[in-house]
Amino acid sequence: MINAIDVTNLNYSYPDGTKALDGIDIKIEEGEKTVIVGPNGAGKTTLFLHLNGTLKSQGKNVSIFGRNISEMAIEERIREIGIIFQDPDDQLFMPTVYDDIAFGPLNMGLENKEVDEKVKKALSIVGLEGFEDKVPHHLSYGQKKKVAMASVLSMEPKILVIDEPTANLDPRSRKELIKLINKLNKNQGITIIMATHDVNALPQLSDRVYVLNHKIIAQGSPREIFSDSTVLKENNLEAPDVFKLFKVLGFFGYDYDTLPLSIDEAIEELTKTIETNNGHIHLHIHEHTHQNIRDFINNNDHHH
Amino acid sequence: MTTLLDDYALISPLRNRNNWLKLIIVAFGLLVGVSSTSPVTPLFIALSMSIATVFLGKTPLKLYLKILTAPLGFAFAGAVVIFFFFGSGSEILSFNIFGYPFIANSEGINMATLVVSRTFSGMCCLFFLAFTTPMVELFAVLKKTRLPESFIELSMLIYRYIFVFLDVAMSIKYAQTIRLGYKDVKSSIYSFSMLVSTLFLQSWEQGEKLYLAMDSRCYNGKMMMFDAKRPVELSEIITASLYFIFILTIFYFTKNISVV
Repeated sequence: MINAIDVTNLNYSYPDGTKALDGIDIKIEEGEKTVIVGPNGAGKTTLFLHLNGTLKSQGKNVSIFGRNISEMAIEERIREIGIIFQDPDDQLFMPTVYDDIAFGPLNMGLENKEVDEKVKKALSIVGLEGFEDKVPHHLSYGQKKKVAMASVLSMEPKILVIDEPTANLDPRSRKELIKLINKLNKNQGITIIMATHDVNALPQLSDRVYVLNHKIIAQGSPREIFSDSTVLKENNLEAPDVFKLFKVLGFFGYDYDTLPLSIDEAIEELTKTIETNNGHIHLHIHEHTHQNIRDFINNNDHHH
Repeated sequence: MTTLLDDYALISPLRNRNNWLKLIIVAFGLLVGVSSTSPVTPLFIALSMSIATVFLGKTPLKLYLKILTAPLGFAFAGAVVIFFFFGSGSEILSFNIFGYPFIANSEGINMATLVVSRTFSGMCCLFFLAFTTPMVELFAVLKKTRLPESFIELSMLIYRYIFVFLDVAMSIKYAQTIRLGYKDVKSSIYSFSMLVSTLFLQSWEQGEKLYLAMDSRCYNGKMMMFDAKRPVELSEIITASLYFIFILTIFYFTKNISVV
């Protein structure tokens, strides 16, 4: 089986000698959704720039679908992997929405008619039909973010690299973007790899999580990562609120099978518990409850 | 948030008309207005262009008048000078200020009205273009001219980043103002120089990000631009032609009319 992305022993130092990436190993299968979490300045963006070949490593460390990225021509690379920046203003540089989305396909050497179709299709995927002749500075931040996605989607890459898809968005745009990413993954089979600090969105957005802090600290399913409080604490991370709440409920005697990561899972869990307990949930305070909660709060408090 | 002329042009209903038609109408108005020998034709062109801008182009009337006052002020100031110091002919008005004689004569007054009316019509024609044709539409027109590609592409990028840096500049200015950066002349000069140097560094950084953005979408020296196909309709051609004929008729029959 050929992996979509294969990173082996990737090292990178900044010009001043600081080590940014240290022996990174990442394997991502086709169609997988992978999230990279880690504190600010952990090297996430640097890693992403290696994935589309903007930064080049000396060795053959990065392969896309089994091919070494430094041996691929830029047109080939772009067909395989598209990168979406965190700040859409860094990504959108053309006068109108249409120009920006057409930029990639046109440089791939497509005919005008084909370019036109790709632009229309990309706009309909992100739900911004009819925005062709708008100028970027008349759009909201959320709309700009979607246009930035469309400008990459118009090149129809097989892998999408997204830096902080939900940062700075209002709740509605955030929800729409999460839905959009999942739709792209499910319907078009696009492999997704993204960085995010949005732990509450993370469970819906990932099959697999990597904790990056210059090195790969840990990897696993979202539940495995969030259950490891030492890893979370040492890397300035935290678990989703629902996850923490159920942990606290556990100290009050709530008997859970698995800790839910999202509201949906919480509803499922609660329903199951209530149905097996004749319509009740039993909570109580026992002798260790207060101590346990104190420990838990202290453990989650990054000030200590 | 400041609103620029371009912002009005972007939402103007006349934006969706053929660019070349608008350009030809404006060029015609400019040429006829400037070459007219009587003030009647230019004033008529000014009036029709203003009506088109405000009613067909849905430009706010207040804004339109406000923007017109600046160039008109200059035109009137110039006209006053011409009025008193140019030409010959029968004397109309004369008086002394501190012993200096000010004499206005018939040729001077004719010339002054002609200058004002020509300026007025020219301004109205250009404002019609500015209020109905945003820059993004003109890029497509520019591309059809034989101007060098790199010139057009640079102007497209510059256009986009004007707005990015305007935003940055305004937020820096705001950040400085709320910390009393402009409380007196000295601090204003200091703050403004800081703003300019920060803007320079930011634009440098933005340039590097731009390179990254273009590179990751395989820039190879080709740029496309939005060129919505807006064919000229027959009715538009007929209306424009009638307008041209009407103007030329006025031009012909009023050529000898003057104020005095």
